[in-house]
Parts: sequence; structure tokens; C-alpha cells
Amino acid sequence: MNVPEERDGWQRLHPATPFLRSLQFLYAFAIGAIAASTGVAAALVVLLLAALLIAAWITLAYLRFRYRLTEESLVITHGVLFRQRRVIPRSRIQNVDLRAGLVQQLLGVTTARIETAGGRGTEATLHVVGRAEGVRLRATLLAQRRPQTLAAEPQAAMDTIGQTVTEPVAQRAEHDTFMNSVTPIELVIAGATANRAGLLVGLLLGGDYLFDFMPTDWLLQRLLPPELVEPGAAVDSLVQTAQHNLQAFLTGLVVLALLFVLAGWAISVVLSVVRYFDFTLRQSGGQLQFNYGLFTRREKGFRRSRVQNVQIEESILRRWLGLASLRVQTAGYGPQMKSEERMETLTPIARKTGIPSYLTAVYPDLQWENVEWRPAHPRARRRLFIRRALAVVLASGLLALWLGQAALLLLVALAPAWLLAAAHYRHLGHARSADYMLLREGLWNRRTYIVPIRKIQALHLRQSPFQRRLGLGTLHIETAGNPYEWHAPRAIDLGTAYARECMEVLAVEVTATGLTF
Amino acid sequence: MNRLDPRVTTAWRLAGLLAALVLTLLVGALETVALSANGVALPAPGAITGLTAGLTLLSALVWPALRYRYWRWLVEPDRVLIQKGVIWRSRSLIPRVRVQHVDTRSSPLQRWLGLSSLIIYTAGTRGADAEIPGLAAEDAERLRDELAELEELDERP
Repeated sequence: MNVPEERDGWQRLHPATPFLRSLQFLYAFAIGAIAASTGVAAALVVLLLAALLIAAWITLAYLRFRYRLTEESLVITHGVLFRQRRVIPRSRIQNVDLRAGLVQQLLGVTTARIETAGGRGTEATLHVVGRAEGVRLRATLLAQRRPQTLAAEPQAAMDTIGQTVTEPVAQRAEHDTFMNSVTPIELVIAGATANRAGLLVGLLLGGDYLFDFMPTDWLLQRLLPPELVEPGAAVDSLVQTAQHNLQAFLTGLVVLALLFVLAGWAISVVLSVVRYFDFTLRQSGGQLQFNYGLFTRREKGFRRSRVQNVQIEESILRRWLGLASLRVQTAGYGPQMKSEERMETLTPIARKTGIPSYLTAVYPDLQWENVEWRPAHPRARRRLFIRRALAVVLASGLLALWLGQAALLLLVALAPAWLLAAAHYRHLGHARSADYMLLREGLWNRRTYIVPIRKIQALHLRQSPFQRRLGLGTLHIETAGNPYEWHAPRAIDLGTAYARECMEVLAVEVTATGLTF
Repeated sequence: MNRLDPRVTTAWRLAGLLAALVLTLLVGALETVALSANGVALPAPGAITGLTAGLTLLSALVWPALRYRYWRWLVEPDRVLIQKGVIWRSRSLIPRVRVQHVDTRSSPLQRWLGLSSLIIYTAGTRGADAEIPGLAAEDAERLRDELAELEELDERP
């Protein structure tokens, strides 16, 4: 392994940095080279000059970039023309993320991103450091005001902060240590049961394109008299099939639809395995650490106290199988961060019986088993039914205008609509447990939110005209770092008076927690 | 609970009229272009433009009064309450210990009317929910200072 150069505690990035940096320009040069090869020699000369200039710049930038850990902070100096010195106080560091793409993994290096609260985005990026160095940096920077180097590899621990500690993390086993890893088979299950409805819809919309890959001709040859089959004119043939043999046409449609669904499913499984490959979660001394990913390897860590809320996600398929996935919402990333980056996966898949141990890893004082769920207001059932009934009535009405009165038979669908509404109602709920507010919603994809009272930022009671008529309202609980409203903690359809009372009680309790963030 | 300053309806109306004017001109231009390009004679030329003008004008004149009617706010020792919405109602509660900072802001139109908006920020991302739009400028400033004061008091213990 290449040990980074060291001088008075100042360190350089990994020697592979210039190489990786120039890789980033490779695309531009490939395009330039193609353009140049078609025309004048002068263009080639310009290209070569530009390449030399950039190579020189990259080398200089590498040589100028130095960082140092002091007891108080991380200091970085860099800049080719404009020198910059940045001091990041350790106490302000929220997260240190390590992320390695495929090439970086092959070279044994990683990109370290240092996040602070209140920043606009990533405070500092160390692109790239050796893997061991990255692990050491993360452990050291996140160690809570302890003047120690928590080195994962003792030999990498160095004497920058006046005290060398060679005790590995594993030996400092604390009683609340939690560790879990997910096997590839579990990831396949996670992908197969994920609620990627959006993906399926996308596939169907992109069906026109996908049609080319589907064995339409093969199907037609088996379903049609041979004289009608004209390869390459699939759509025409389909119309002819429909006229000729309705049953064959319908069979073909069903087979195609099944193929679409299977393709979507397969993609979902592959995505799940690639993204979460070798997922491990570690909790030790209030630190949560996540490592996962096949092509892009991510190693993230943050303090447990940064978790704004926890979400349990159970699609209907997962509920049947007794499975769930868990995510945590963090704050501390700037607004430039992509919204999904603020959600960290606590586990892509877990057995229902395993949920409490995950929750305890994040919220040690939560008594998950003793939670007493309270239902939404009984009138909610009516609203949930009316919503579906309107759709049924509207659809059958329109179809009746178009196809004749027989379509009104569709009104039979009102019965399942009622059953769905009743089922939906059963999944709505909220609960109080010690210092936590718990909220639950969703029929096809049930989401359960666990919000510590001390993380509540604001409370909103919203009422649509329908809700107002029924004396209902939806209570929204706002925490920091919520990227979007529709995946935010809320209790649907509480009685208005009761919801207001809840707001009052919560407001008083939030005030009692004082100025904590 | 407190209402907004009545002058806010004037501000909303003027802003609405401006929007109505822009929208009508835009639709009018589009309609003219579309008609001249296709050479199609509609039974009533200018009907779409007229309809746009009528609807936007009506909403610009009527909506502000309704909005004003349902707007309420209250600053209590430990919380800020905001209640609003004509069709979709909302009632927001912001505990004062969660207030990060407070701004006053006024557009040229608001300044001309002597109004100001008070914007309350929390660490939650939907801070826009805590905006009190039509306050007399001096009220807004007083409230801003009052809200900022409590933050400092609580930071000491």
C-alpha cells in the first residue's frame, strides 16, 4: 500500500489522485481527438497543448493539496493560483462519507466527503485518499471530542494529535454495540418485494421502445396463420390478429404484459443487489456506520443524534412475507444535496421480528413492543371510501357514455372500493411512546414514522374541503431535512378537535426540550 | 387571534391585477398568432382572451377578500400560530424554541402601502409556511425583534 507522504503531520492525497483526475478529462479528450482526426493538424497541436497544460495543472494541484488533523480541527490547504486554507472545527463535522467508484475500488482508494451542519453542501472533499486512510479519517473525525485516534488499523494511526492510540474500534466494545449485515439472498428478496411501481409504469410508458426487444414476431408466428405473418410489421400484424382471432390477440397481450412485469421485477432485483451489495450497519458509541454498494462502494457514518426520524417501509408484498425496510432521515447536509442522500437506508430488508433491534440501535430508549396504536377518526373510513367511489362512478359513467349502459355494471366495483377503504383505515394510526411520536399510513406501501419529540420543528394541521366537511384534518409533523412533503411524518384524518389538542400537547413538550437541534 | 393589516387586500388586488394584465396580454398574443397562422375563423374571435381577462380579473378582485377573511396569526410567549386557507385550510404551530431566525421583507408595492412581511425560519425545510404577509411595517419590525429576543434569553441557561 502506498503510504501518503508525511511532514509535520501534513499529508498529501493518495498518489493515484493525478491519474484519477486526468481520467475525468479523458472523455473530453476522446471527443477532441475524434474531431481533430477528421480535420486540420493545427487542432491536434492545440489539443496536445491543452493536454499538457491540464496535466501540469493536475500535478500542481495534487502537490499543493495538503491536509492535517489537529486536536481541534481538520486543516486543508490547497490551490494552484489562489492559495486557500480551510479550517474545519471537528465539533462541526456531522458526517464523513467515503465513496469509491469501480476504478477507485480497483486502485484501493476512496473519496472522502466531509459534511458540516449549516454548510451549503459538502464542506470538503478529499479526492482521493487510500482506503485505510479514509477509514482512519472518518473514525478520528467522528470520535466524539475524545482526544484519541480511533484507528481501524493500528499501524495507520499516527501521532498528529499528540497521542497515539492503537486500540482498534472492535476492542472498545460497548454494551450498546449493534452490527448487522445483509446477505445477497436477502437483497434479492428486498428487490423482489420493493414497491417500485414507478419503475413498472416507466417500463410500460417506454414500452414502445422495449417492444423491439420483446419476442413479438415469435409470438405472432405461433398465434397466426403463417400467410398473415409479415416480419418487421409487428403492429400491423397485431391489428390483423385482433381482427382475425381475438382470443389469440388477447393471449398475446397477456403474455407481453407478463413479460413487462417480469422485466421490471428483474431490474428491481438487480438494482437492489448492486446498490446494497455487502450491506453492513454498525452502531457503536452513538455512531452509525453504513458500508454498501457493488460498483460504487459507499461508507457513511454519522452520529445517532443527527437522526431526525426513522421510517419503516412495508409494501403489501412485504407485509405478507413479514418483512420491512428501514430508513433514517438525517440533517446536516446542505440544500445542494440530492434529496435521496438525506435518507440513509438503515437496512434494505429485515424480518419483522428484527425491527426492534434496529430501532434500539438508533433510539435506545424507544419501547417499540409496548406501543399502543390509536386509529384515525372513524369518519376517515367514509372519506377514504368516497375518494375511491368517486373514481369508480366517474369511470363507469364515462364508459357508459362511450360503450352503452352495460358499462354501468362496473358500479359493482363500489363493493371492493369499500373493502379497500376499510383496509386502508386499519393501516392509519398514531401513537405516543415516551419521548416519541409514531405515525403510520399507507395501504399498498405502509410507512411508519418514528419522530423524537425533541426533533419536531413545526406542526401543521391541514384540511381539504372534504375533510373539513367531515370534521377531520391531517396533522403534519415537520422535522429538519425533510426533502419532500409526501414522505413526511403525518397522521391522516384525525378529528379536528383531537388534532388541535395533540398540537397543543406536543408544542408544550417541544418547548420543554429547549433549544436542541 | 390577530388579523392581517386590511391594507394587505389592496396589495394582493394590485398584484392580482398585474398578473391578470400580463396573462391576458399573453393569451391575446397567442390567440392572434394562432388565428393568423391557421387562417381559421372562430365563431367568436377573442373569446378565449375575453374569458381569460374576465376570470383573472374576477379572481384578482374577489380572492384577496376571501384570503384576508381566513387569515389569522398569533404570537404567544412560547409559540407562533398561523391559520389560513380559503379552500384548503391550514393551522401551523411553531414552538418559539425552534425559531432559528426571523426576517422582515417588503416588496416595492408593500413599501408603498406601508406594509411588511414577517418570515420565520426553523430548521424544517418548509419555512415558507411561517410567513405572515401583510403586517404594518412597524408591527413587523416589533415582532421580529421580539421573536429574536427570546432566542437569546433561552440560549443562556
